[in-house]
Formats: sequence, structure tokens, C-alpha cells
Amino acid sequence: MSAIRPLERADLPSVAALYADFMNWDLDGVRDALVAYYARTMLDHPSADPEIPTLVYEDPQDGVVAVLGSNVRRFVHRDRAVRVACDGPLIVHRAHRPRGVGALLLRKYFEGPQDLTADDRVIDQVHAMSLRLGGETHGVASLGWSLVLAPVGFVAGVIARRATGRERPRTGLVARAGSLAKRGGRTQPASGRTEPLAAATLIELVERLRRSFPLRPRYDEAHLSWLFAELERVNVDGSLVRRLVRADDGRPLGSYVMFVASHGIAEVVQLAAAEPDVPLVLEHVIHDAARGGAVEVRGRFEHHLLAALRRRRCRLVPVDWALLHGRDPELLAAVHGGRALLTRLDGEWWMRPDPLQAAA
Amino acid sequence: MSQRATDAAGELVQRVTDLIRDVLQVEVATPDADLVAEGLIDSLALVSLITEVELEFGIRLSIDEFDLGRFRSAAQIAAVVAELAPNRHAA
Repeated sequence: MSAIRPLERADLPSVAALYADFMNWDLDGVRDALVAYYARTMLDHPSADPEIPTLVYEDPQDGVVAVLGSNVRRFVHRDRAVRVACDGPLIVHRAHRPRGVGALLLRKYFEGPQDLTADDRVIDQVHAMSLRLGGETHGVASLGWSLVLAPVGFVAGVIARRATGRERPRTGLVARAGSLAKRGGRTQPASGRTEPLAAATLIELVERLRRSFPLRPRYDEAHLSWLFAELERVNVDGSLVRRLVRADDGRPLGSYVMFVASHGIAEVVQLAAAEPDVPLVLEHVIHDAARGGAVEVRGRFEHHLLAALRRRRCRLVPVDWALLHGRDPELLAAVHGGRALLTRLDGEWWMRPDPLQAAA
Repeated sequence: MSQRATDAAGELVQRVTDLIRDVLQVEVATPDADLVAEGLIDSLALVSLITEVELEFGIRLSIDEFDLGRFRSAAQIAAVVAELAPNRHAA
């Protein structure tokens, strides 16, 4: 009998224990929240696909010793329905790591019936393993960009990060620079206006972008309701901002989803727009981030953003590897060729359970 | 086991030992040396080894039936290969 099998509801306490151990959290304080998180994100979400399940590795003596999450997203390529799978997190109990359990889980997952596997939070070792299993680096998306909004606050943030060794330091100087930016240090966008991004408007927008992105998410209300609710619950320092940008004549031009954090960095999760409209949408992103107190905006590169970011002389920043695995050359070519709207919003990058959140 | 079968089995173990040396860049002391216990293998090494064993011997290791406990030494790996492709690798 195989040691690898789909996650079952009865496994959730074991999976919670694995995750807590991996994070060095006290299990008693986080068990319920982690059980609820894994249930919501791996078993009960509207796009969960029993054919591409979260996988666990069950050791005959020690029980469930590893888990590889599965996040399936519905896409469309031209008119063909496509299943994009994003695996992660991969958690292996420390005692079983030397045995190669993680490698077996990855290989099993890649053998699944999904049309494309697209991972966006891949550490070096898993990246190397995935390449040997037939995966390929999603080069553009493996690089991050940064735009500095308030130089003084930005420099203070860099110094604080180096001094404290923390990725998210809070310093008075960053906060002060952020509040200056908030008070309108930035110029207004040249045109257009924004409104809250609702599920229906994002569905409509992505459909309008079909010529730019033959491969794109096939959003529906149920999935987006789940997605937006989950984005509000994740363990990310900062507030979620999601806006639709309309042209002055009311046409929807694009949208953005980002986290604006109290440590001064705004992280763009998705910027959806046809390439000619990206500069204006980016202006709104910057304006909004500055109003939220950010001193820097970051994201990962995607083809449709390149020209606008290049014009703004963005800095390069390190991000985790992005990886692709698939057997359909047309889909891989669509991603590598910039004809796919494949962003962090539809990946696993933002998915982090909040241990302090009460179980739902 | 006939002498011919014994020779073939020994040859197979030697090929696996050579493969381990080439892939993992380590010398295996004996065919029964435990790669896990000796800290010679991790997830990345295992992936490399599986891939190279499949290429070298023209077999496909089913992950559903994969037993980590039988992939810990050159002798064990050779036995798995012999099972999956008995006509090609045994007399």
C-alpha cells in the first residue's frame, strides 16, 4: 500500500501538529486555528478538486509525517478549461527529512492530472528537486521589483532590517516617513478613478482582458468570495487593499490587490491590466500605497508589468523561486511568452495561517 | 541461484554502486551500506537517484508502490531494479 494518500479530515490534527512544529509554535495555542485553516484552504474551498488533492505521507510507525498542500485554480486557455495546481506548503517532520519524503510527495503531485503546476513560493532546495522532476524555472516571476516612494523611510527600513535581522521592523523613522507620504507627498494619478474591487467587477475585467491573456483565471463569485475572505485572514502584517481602476469615461482599465503593511512596505499581489494600461494602474497603486503610509511598493515581475516598471527604474529585490511543471507546451509557452495572467493572487504566496486567529 | 544468476546480480549491484557514486559523489563502502543512516541521502539526492536509476535501467518507479525502506542501499536498489525489469537485469 502506498505511503502517500490524499489528505482526509481526520488527518487535520496531525497536519496542524506538523505545521506548528515546523514553525516552532506551541501546538496547544494554535491547534484549532491550524485545523480550521487547513480545512478551509485544502478541503472546503470552492475550487478544491478531489482529483488533485493535498497529499500526506503516512509512516507505518509515526503516522502522518509530511503534507504537501494543493491549491487548485480554475483557468481558461482561449476557450478550454484548464486546471492550474499550486502546491505548498510542503511540511516534512524533521525526523523524516533525511529519508526523502518531500521528494516523493513532489513527484506524486507532479504526476497528477492538472494541466499545469505553477508554484510561487519555492525555496532553493525544493527548486532544485523540482527541476530534476521535470519542472522549469518561471524566470521572470522569480525576480522581484521595488519602487521607493519615500527615500528617507526606505533607508531607515533597510537599516532597521539589517540591525534587527527582522524582515518586518517597525521604526519611528519609517512610520514618520510613511505619514509624510500619507499626507499627500505623492502626486495624484494623471487620470482615472478607483473604486472597491468587487467579485463581479473582477470577473468582468478579466473577461475584457482575454485578448491580452489567452491563459487567464476563470473566476466565479464563489471562488472570489472565498479568496477575498481568506486574504483578509492571512498572517500578513498590514491591510488588504483591492481596487478597480476606471478610465475617466468609466471603462474598467485594470485592478490591483495589495497588502499595505505597517512596516512601510506595500506588496502587490495582483495587478491586472492590459500592458498599455499598466502605467496608469501602477500610478494608482503607488498613490494608494503612499496614502496607506508605505515607503516602498514591491511585487514580482510579470511580463505585462515589465515596460512600466522599467520606465520607473524599479530596483530588483529577491523573491522566492517561481516554478512551472506541465506536459502541455502550449500552456508553458503562454506563461513564458507573457500571454498568461498568472499572478500571486492565484498562487500560494499569500497563504499563511494566522496562529492568533480564532478558529472559524 | 545459478552461478550465472549470481554473477548477473553482482554486476547489477556494481552498476548501481557506480551510479550512486556518479550521482551523489560519494563512495559506498559496501553494497549494504545504509545511505540514510550514513547521511548520504536527502530529498534532493533521492530525486536525483530515482531519476538516474530510471534512465540507466529503463524502468519507471511507481511512487504509489515506492517503498523508501527498500531504497536505502545499493543492494536494495539493485533488487528493486531486478524486480521491475527481471528479463533485462538477471540471468
